[in-house]
Amino acid sequence: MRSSLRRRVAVWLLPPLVLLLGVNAVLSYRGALEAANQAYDRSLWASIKSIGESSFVRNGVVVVDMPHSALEIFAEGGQERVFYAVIGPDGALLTGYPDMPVPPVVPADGVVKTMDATYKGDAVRTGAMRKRLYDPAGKGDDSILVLVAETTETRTELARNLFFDSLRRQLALIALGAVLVLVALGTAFRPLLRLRDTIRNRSEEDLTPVASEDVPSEIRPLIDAINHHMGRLSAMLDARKRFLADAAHQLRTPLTVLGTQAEYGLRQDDPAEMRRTLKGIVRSIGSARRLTNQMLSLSRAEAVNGLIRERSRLDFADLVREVALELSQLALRRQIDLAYEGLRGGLMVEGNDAMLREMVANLIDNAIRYTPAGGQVTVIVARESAEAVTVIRDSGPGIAPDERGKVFQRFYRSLDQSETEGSGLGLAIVREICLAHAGRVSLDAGPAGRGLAVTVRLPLVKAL
Amino acid sequence: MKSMRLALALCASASLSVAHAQAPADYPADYAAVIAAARQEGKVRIYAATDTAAASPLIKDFEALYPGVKVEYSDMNTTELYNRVISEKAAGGTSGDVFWSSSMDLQIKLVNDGFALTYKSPEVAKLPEWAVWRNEGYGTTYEPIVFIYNKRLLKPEEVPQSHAELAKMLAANPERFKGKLTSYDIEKSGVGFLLITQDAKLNPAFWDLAKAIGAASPRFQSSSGTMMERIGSGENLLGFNIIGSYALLRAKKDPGIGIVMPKDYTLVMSRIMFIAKTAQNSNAAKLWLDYILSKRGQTIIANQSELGSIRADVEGDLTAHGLAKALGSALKPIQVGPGLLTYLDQAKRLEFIKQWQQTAALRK
Repeated sequence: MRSSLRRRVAVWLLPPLVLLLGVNAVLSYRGALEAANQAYDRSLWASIKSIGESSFVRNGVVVVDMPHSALEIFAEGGQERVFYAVIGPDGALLTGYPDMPVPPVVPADGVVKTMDATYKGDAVRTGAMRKRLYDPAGKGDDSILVLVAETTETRTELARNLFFDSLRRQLALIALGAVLVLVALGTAFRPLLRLRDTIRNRSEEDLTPVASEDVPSEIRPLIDAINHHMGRLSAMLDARKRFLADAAHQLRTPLTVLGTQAEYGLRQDDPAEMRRTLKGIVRSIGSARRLTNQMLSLSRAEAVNGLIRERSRLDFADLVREVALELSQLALRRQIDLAYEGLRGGLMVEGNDAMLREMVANLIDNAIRYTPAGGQVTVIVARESAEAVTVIRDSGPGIAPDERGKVFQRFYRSLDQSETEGSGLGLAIVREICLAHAGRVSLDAGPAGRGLAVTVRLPLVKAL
Repeated sequence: MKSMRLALALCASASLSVAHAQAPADYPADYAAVIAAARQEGKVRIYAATDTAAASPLIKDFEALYPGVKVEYSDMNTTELYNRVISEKAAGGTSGDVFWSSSMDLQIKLVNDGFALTYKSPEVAKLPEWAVWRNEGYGTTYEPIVFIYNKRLLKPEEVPQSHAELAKMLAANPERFKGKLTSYDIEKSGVGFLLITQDAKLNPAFWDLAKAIGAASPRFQSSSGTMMERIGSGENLLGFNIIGSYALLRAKKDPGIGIVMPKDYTLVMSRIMFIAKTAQNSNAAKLWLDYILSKRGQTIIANQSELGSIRADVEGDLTAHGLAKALGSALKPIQVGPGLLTYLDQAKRLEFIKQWQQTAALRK
């Protein structure tokens, strides 16, 4: 297992090398044979040519005056047996050995054709040439066929020697190559193996980035990706921890209130007073439920932050209008004038429908809750360059400028708003969802310095 | 001198025969196995176109060196040998194990036609390069081709010392040499044909010489014995293309015969020996071939058989070594190889004989 990477590369590299060696060996042998033939065929050519040149017609009879060199040429540096024949125009043997092998095609005149054949059971290399005699008395075809063959021991031996020489060299090269590959694999994978050991030996808690200084450049992107992922994991883990701590802390408050209310109710004898206490308890429970619901929403929003899968193209203006309409009942109950101004559709954004509804509902709900009866909440939707801009304005108490940054934190509640039922999670949820959709959210004072204006900017889908 | 040498050789063979099982020191390690196998075979059959008289010292020494291996020696003429090899091979019956003949071209033809066993003799490094073909055909002797003359009838200053001088002499005195010149009948004698074709190949002025010979109405014989006899008797004055070993042997008995090694060029022929591919006693045949090529065998060839040693490391007058000192580059050994096939070509042979008859043969 420890060297599996090396083994993989070796397995992929070495058998193909051996295969290449095999292919190369076949080619080398053919090449060697060809080279040997090329070298030794010259004697055949010379011999055949000289026999051809010494053949002529005298008084209508073909005379072959075997030149001495035609056969002696094979004695020079060769130890081959030699066979020859001259065949007349009528196909009869004029001189030489009978039944010599003849190449199937012999060119017309003066061209030597060579081939491998067997003669009397021995492998021979044979050459053939047609030679025209231009016999004045000849009738049409007056060409003789000159054949010379030699046994192939010398050629085969030369080819074999050449072949084994090159094979030895190739084997040495392959062996050297294999050693180099093994060494190279060892060196190339050492940083990777070291890295693996580093990561394996880390403590479970350790989410700090892995050092990427001395890793090969090919692996650096992988390290960077791992580090990036670990960074996100670590941030998320932190957020979860904080959230858990905050949530526990927050839930303690309504529970304490409930406890106090219940104890108070127990001490009462007056049924009317007990009933009032119970009502108070129900209200407290409602408040606690709202808190838990919102915590759930926030948790969902945070979980999907950055990795919202279900995105679709939707009309944000319609979405805002629909949410405002849903909340108009609440506004009516609270005697607040809820107004919608702006576009009727045509603001396409890409996002998660449920999350965006949650965000808008939170904003409008907040505005309604924090605005005293008889006040006014205005929802404005507009297009500004490539953004859908939504402004929710109320005529409530507003938020002091130095507090505006803090209200996006979880469970933060403005001190002078403490009597209002609220979890302090609404704006935190808004911010998470907004960020998840690559948007921005900001707080300003309302017109004429009164109330609060929340502005949400979301990028529009690029026009097609 | 001669008797002392003989005694020494006998001495050597006696001492060696004691250590008969030993392979020569520089032979391959497994040679003992060849010797053992040869002893199993028990004999070697030799077909030779070499006189039994010349061969018998070799046979005796060989049998002494390898006791248990008998030599069956059949002496026949060159054409008979050639035909017998072919017909016995075709019949598929028993045949010779080793063939040894002075007809170099016929021997080469047999080798070329696949009758020979490939066997690299351990002695091969000691032989001249021209004497070995395919590790099948081995040249075994070194026999210069000479002129012989009648010492009584030809004055020393008249004796031609080269082929050119022979042609000049014949042209100058056509009447004196009319009917007095002798050589081989090339139609009947294979060796004669071989030698004359080698002359034609080697000597650019050959056909001029042939014309001069023709003008002298030469007497052609089919055997060297007749030629030497007639020169000894004075019936003929001069013979050319005589095998030097025969001439030397004759000259020893007949002091009237003089020998000239032509100074312009002296052909050297070598008896070719090869082992039959189908040899039944192939191990014994190997022993015989190696023995003939060995220093020991060649010493006997030079000093007892009078055939001339092909080895440079064998001393004596009739050896490659001694002749090279006397004649230098004028020595022209006939190469053991496929070139010898040329004049065996049916058409070439007829063509050459025709031309030779027209130029050099006896005119009535």
